[in-house]
Amino acid sequence: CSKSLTADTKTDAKIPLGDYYQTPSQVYSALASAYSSVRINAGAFYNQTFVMNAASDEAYCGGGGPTDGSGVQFVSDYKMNGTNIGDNTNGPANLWYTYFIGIANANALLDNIGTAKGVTDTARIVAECKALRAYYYFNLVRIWGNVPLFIHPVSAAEINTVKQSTIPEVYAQIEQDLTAAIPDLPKTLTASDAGRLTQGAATALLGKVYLYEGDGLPGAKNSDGSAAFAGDHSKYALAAQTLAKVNGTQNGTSFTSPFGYQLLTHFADLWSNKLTASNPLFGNSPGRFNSESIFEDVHTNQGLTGWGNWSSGSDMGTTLCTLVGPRGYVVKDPAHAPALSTVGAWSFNPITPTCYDFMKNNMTGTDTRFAASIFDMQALENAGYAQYNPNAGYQNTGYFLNKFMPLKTDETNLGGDAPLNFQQDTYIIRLADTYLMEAEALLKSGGDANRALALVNAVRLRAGATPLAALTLQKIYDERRLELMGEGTRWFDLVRTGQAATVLASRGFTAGKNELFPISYRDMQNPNFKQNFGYPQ
Amino acid sequence: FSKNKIAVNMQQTINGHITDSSGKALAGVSVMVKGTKNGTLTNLNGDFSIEAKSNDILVVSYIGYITKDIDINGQSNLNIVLEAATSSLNDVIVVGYGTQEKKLVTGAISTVTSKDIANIPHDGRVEVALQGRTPGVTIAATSGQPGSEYTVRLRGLSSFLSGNDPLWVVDGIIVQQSNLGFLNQSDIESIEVLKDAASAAIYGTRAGNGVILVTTKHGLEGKIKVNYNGYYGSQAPARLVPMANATQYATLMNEQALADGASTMPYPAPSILGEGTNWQKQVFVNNALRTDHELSLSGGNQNANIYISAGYQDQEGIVLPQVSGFKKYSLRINHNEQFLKIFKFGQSIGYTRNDSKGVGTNTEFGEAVSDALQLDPLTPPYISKSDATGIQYQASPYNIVAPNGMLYGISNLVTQEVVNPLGYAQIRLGNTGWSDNIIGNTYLEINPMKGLKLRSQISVNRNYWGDRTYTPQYYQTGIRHQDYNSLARHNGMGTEWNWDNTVSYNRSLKEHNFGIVIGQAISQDGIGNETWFSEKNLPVDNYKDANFNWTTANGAADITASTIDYVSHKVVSFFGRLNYDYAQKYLLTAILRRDGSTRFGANNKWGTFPSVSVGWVPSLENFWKNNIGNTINFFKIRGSYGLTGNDQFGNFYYISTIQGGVNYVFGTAGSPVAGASPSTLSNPDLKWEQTAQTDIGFDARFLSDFNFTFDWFNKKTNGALEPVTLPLYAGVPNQPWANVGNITNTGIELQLGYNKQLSDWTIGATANFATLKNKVTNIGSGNSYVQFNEATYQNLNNNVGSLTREVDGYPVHGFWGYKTNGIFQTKADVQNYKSASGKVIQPGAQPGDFRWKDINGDGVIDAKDVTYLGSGVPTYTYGLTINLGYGNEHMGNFDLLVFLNGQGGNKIFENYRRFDAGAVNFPQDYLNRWTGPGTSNTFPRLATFGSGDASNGNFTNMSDFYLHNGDFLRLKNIQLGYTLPESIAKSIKAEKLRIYVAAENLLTLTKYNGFDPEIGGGVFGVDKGFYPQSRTLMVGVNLQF
Repeated sequence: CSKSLTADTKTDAKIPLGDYYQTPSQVYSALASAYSSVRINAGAFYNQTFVMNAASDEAYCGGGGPTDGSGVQFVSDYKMNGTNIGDNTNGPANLWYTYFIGIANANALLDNIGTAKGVTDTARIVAECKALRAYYYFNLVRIWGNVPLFIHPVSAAEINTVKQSTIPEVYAQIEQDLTAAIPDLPKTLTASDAGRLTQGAATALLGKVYLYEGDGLPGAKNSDGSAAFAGDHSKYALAAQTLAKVNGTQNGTSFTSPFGYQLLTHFADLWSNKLTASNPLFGNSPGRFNSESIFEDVHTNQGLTGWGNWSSGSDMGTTLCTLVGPRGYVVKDPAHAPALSTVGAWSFNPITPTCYDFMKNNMTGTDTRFAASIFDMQALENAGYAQYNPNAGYQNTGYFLNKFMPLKTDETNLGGDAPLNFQQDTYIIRLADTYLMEAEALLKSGGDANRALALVNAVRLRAGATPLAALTLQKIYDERRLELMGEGTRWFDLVRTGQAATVLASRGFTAGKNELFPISYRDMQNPNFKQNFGYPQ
Repeated sequence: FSKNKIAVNMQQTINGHITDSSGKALAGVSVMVKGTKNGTLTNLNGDFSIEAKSNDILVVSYIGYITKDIDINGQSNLNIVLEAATSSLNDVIVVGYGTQEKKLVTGAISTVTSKDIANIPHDGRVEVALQGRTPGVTIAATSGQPGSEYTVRLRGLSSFLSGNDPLWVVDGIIVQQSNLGFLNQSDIESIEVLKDAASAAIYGTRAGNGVILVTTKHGLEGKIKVNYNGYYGSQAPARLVPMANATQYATLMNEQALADGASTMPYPAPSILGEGTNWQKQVFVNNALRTDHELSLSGGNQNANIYISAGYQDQEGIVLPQVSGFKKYSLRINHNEQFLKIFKFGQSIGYTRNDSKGVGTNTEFGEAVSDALQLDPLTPPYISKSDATGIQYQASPYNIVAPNGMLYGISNLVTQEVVNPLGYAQIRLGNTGWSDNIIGNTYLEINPMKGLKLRSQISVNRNYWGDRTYTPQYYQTGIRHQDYNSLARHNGMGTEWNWDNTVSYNRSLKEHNFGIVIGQAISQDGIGNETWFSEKNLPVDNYKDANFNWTTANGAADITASTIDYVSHKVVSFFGRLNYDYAQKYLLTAILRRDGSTRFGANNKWGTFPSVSVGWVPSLENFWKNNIGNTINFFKIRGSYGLTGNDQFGNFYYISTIQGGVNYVFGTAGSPVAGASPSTLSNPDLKWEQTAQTDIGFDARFLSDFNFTFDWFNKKTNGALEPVTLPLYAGVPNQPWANVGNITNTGIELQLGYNKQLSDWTIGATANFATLKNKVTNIGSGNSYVQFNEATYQNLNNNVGSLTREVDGYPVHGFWGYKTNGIFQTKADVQNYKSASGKVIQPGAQPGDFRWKDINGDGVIDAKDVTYLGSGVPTYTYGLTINLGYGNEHMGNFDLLVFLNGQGGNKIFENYRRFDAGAVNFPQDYLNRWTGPGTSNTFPRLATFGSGDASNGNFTNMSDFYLHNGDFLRLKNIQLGYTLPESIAKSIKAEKLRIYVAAENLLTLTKYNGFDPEIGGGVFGVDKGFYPQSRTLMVGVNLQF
């Protein structure tokens, strides 16, 4: 009788969790939901690139005023705490929330796929879920440190009593998941599954994870004041080996990846990775899923995102583009000023003068990276090519993030609200990054210095910069700034290499505290939870 | 010596025969000579003889019947007919899966019988029959629109977010309250309200809000009787809300503009504007039709009986009757038949058709009544096309043309959803809603031996409903317009069924009386579906020509359709009841019910609901009989305790369901893949909201003619459902439900009845009174307040959120806001209003602004000063029914019915002004606004929303300024009838002919200045332009053949 009382609730309108994950199409939909959180890299207001740029010395929060996107203002000014970090709707804690949704969706599929009928690629899907879980935890552990570790769906009974894991425990799970995933992931993708994880992507991520484990979190403390994460230098060699699998063998000044990855010929082409660009799949030309892209977060205007579902699971646009456009932009001379979309342009993430100067002063040869990375609004206005409204942008510097400019050509011609439907993909990890990381790992592990130099110079040569004659760690860090500026990696690099306390001191960074973000008040309701060191409980 | 004088002094033997109204002899009736101790009892044949003087008066009394005084008046042979008293102790009442003699009942059950409501003009809804007649039942109209439901609450509110409606069981058929429209008042034999847990527990998990059992009529043994009851009536609004006329409006607008710093007045000469448009007079009518005709045929023999009825009802709305009204057609057949001695079967089948049309009610978003209150008086109802030169007429080519060829006036002052209500009616012409309801049961009963009964009953309720809407191209305001015409249809159908099987056995062993019922039941509802279909761009220009057969301009692109399937809800039950009494003196009832429901979590699939009640009838003890038996003829004290549950919540509250919309892009084409993921965490512990209720009461009959019933109850609900805020790391987007909150309801209920017959006079009166104290005792951890089922008002949420909150220690859905504390008369007043620490509390205030109470004393007025302001649910309700009859067989009989009901202790939120909708009209209260020192201490200065007012929030704060005392006493019904003498009735072959005049809602005594103080709904007492109940005058006929 109890059985019939449950069975009767079946309906087309809603499917009880226990009845789902049965058919290939259900599994496919569940897989999409597990991937969905990847979009938080550049989709939704509180996207990771925007937040981490604002925390770094590359950019401020900016926006329309001192309370616009206030959760990020507190990050940018290092005044964040458990309350102003926000929650699921308001503030950078939205990242935490989104990654835990991704983890929960992956866990639900992992626990249920065993009973599905007719699924022919179970091993691959399991591997994808594990790799996604690893990727999400990698972000969580880098930003928040001691997070609760779930490898199965959590139940209501335990939800308020779970405990945080230590940072090494989380990293151990990440390593385990990626290691387990790699053999079952495909080496290559077809047009219909572009965007999904590959062996190369998981390997690159694992290499990056090893590098972070080697560094540890210098200065970061546990809630009791003890060191939160001492680096394990033995991981550097692992990092170099793993990343080498992605980067491949050296051929003169270039490398041949067993996965077919190639640096794009032109640095500026990296920022045309959108559907509107014409691109052969995995080709060395502008467009999404190009040969340099190892794993990217995918956006589209076909979701017809509107204000009503903005920042939700069905928000498919790239909000980052709308965030970083200059307010009040008008072209005066089309020959010299690009056509930007003005449907949404909110002046967030203005580039700091420090960053501007660094980029400008380190251009050598025909290095194209300054121009491709920074939208020098100030210069355009001074030259009379375009104008904008400098007073409308808070913390305005006149310099904007060119990599993600909302281009007029990228304005949606479908339905939905135009500011929310830019469709530029962003790179979770790209080949230039794995070159630089391998070089760094080689140096840190005492590995092949010549290969390291070749890797860095390959990145420089592609951009048009003069090759380096010799390599130091600092030179690699500088190269990372030049190459990856504005892509949301700088803050992580500063923190893991122990430079944050110095570099970000003027921004208010407190050593021993701000290496980790505060945990949202919503989660601090759990009596077992300990707030990160230095933040009020 | 006159002959008379001699007769007076003579003792003689008076013989008599006493029967009940059906002619059955009554044995054991007490016959006393008034003022003496001389008395006797009737024998088994109903006969008595007594020595009395010829001018004596005999007092004839019998339990369960109305005591009669008989003037002997020289007669020596008397035929006396006793009328059964209503609510008589000898009555048998329905108790759920059985019946019980009322004198043995140990629970708290109120009964309304056909007699109580026979002369009440029929409403479209049966709920109203309980209003003012059953203590402990709070009933309020949700709208005065014909056919509207009433909100019914038994002993308070026990839930935040689940249903608070009682369980309705009609002839054993479980019926959603929304479907009760099928019932005809004349078909009702009795309504039993099971209020305490001990009575209701037999319905287990569906009984937490009490149970109402309705029994329809069955034919009686005897010749076929035909009854007709019908009336015609005319309805009008009881009152209009005094609103500013054009001159007053202009004056107030001028003053407001000047207060905001304008240098010139917008209306330099207000008086030339005169009265302007009185919009209420435009929408209300004073002669709306209301008529009802019900015809029944009944009869039977010793083996079979039948009751057949048909009804027709037509009620126009008093607001824009061209688009507001209700018609009902109904048929019923009830039939019972006995065969082969031990078998009995029967059916009860009803069919009802409702046709309705309606306007939106009680919303600030422009729906006829609130339009009439908000629209400015400067806008004309109609304007000729040549005069319509204002910019508001240029916005669209689709201004609505009135039947008189003119355009409907469009305001250039009032915007948003507030529109010309006459135009609003014009575009809704022809829109109809309908429902067909088929309800029926059939049963088989077997009595294999004395006292043993096996019964199986299957009940089904099948509904079809829908509506059809045509909307022309129109323009009313910037947000109320449609540039294309459209035609839409919505159809739904639903089924509920239940199957009950019981075995009952009654046995008496000497003075030990046992009754036992064991049963099993299964019920299911939520079987059905709904479909919506709409087309636009039809090649027609009016509703009469609109048809789905037209080809639309853009073909398939003009068509939208959707459909849903319902999720069914099933309950499987086992139950038993034991009744025991010893000599009818010591009473015990014990009930055990076990329910399994599809709505409960895996760990609580089955709930057990026990109850026990005991009673003692000391009036049957010798010490009582010998001492006060003549004064207090009957006395029963009773107490009960039991558990019941409430499962009126959604179907998947215990489970995590899969939801779509968590998407990602796979592939180079950029098309999103619809993702599907868990919506929330499952809560396998989720269960019913459990109510434990104690009831102590007594029933008494004293001085032969009085009945008195008292009850005290304490109802504690644990585990009221709430959504639980999960930590973010739960990784789910929705909040799961859990049994978190606690709520208590306590109160007392009194009912006093009096019945007397004095030769040509009959007197009956029943009064009742009930109190209710509703209190949230736990809203769940971590919150100082929550807001559930909250009422809102546009632009009225400054620091408060919604109008209502749930807070520990205060009523469910209580009103919360700021408290006013007079008005600053001068700048010095502002500076002098300081906290204990000397801080000026409202430094930004101006003279004429409200002084807000600094509740927490911190010297700042902010969200922390929001406090409890009252509740919309009355703390006491009462009713009084008076029946007077005078007459005899020669002159006929006059009867007078007076029925009053009332309530108190409740607050009404009244607001007719939407500040964001431009310059909406002012209630005349605004004429009492503060205009300078000493002019008002209760009504602030006028200022436009968003400028002058915003700083102090005089009008934008939710505060006690908007709350009014909701007490009222209403003369609900008054009726004067005349039954023609039988001799005249016979001349037209009728058995009975009665004519009457009646009035409903003739008088309402209240301090509330809105339309109507009786306002139901999910949150009681929110008036945003409530469609009032009408005042009706009727003439009618009862005819019996």
